[in-house]
Amino acid sequence: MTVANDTPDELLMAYADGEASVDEAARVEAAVERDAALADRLAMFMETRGLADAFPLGPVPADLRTNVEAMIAGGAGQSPDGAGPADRAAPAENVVPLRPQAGRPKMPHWAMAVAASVLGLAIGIGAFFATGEMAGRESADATTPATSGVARLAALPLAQAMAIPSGDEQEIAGQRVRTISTFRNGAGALCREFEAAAADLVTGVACHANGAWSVDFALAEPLPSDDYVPASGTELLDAYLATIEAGPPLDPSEEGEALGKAD
Amino acid sequence: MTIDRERMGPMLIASLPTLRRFALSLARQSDIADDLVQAACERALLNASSFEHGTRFEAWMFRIVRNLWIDRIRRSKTQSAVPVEDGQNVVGEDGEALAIARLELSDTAAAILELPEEQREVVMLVCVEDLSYAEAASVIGAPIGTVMSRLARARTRLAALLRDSGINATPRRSASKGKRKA
Repeated sequence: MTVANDTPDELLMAYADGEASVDEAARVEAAVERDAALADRLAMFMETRGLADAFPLGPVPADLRTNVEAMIAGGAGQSPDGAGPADRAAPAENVVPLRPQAGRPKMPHWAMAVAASVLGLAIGIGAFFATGEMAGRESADATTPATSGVARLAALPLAQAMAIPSGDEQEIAGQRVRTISTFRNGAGALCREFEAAAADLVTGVACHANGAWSVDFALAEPLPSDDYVPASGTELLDAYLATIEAGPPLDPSEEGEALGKAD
Repeated sequence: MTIDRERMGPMLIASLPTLRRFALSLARQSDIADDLVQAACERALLNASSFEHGTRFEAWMFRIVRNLWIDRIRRSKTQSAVPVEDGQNVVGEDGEALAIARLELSDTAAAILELPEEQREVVMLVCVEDLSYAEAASVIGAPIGTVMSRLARARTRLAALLRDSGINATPRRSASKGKRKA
């Protein structure tokens, strides 16, 4: 066994970074003294830290700073530019009525104002799109055909869609379904962000509760063109994720385990 | 103890340059980086109460920026800046962005931008932003051992890239139509 095998890169690096324990530091110092190659490795690690000067902080663009200052000054319920939130919000006939729930955080109005190109939006807590309920609501309201927009999700077998690993796509009930990520909300429930593409693109968030998946957020937008254009509804979705205190995305193994338990 | 929106505002403004640098290292395009920073600030303000006083604010913000970036990659397969697998050279679709970066950044910074994403982020967090291994682990949601093995590989590769650029300093392509950072 050579000295190098006893002194892995991680240990040399931890020493260079001041993260080695006293014992480890003694091991490194003794090993480096005996082995010039190790000394070179250690020098390399010492030269590749403290690189802040190599990557100087640039000036913050005025737009970015102004926008962030407006957000800070605006607070909840204020549009950053002072315009009425209703002015630029999605047309009323395309917005499925919200199901208000006491004690839940509300979407800030400035977040609603970004949804200029949104075709349809539904935000509710609970089994909004559970089997039957949405269909009943649709026939009563008869405002939107159930084949387009957010109502399309009523026809989607959710349990099947929610079994797709994040990043994969599957054709289900005439819709191209792609799961984006899996995470836990502030209440600890397992939730998934997904997209369902047909005539338009619906982005949804479904959470698992009482043994079943239900869609809590859905946003319909025109299908993106070939050129990459960031979806304008993304900010709305981000704001929604923030209100439900979405945690970080689970990694693939955590996701597999969590989804296995949810079924 | 938590902090409220009012106290978070000045912290956000003060950290904008740092957040932007980290976002730029992930996205490697300044317009996307600015979008990420702005979205991260929105999320931070909405979640101000979940920031734990006494922990490092930048680390909390880096985590938000990174999560937004991962979401963004997953949402758009057509985006040029796809996640780069370990060992794969990133020059290609991103060649232009990197060429621009080379004009404006030091050799070291340009070399960092050429690292695969999982190596780039740990180098940024530890070697540039000076986070501890434990803080970096909390940002990327991985064990400290994972941070250390990625970081050791990243620095080995970074040193090799710098050595190569010393020998072969010819730019890969012209960046004449590149837009400069504001």
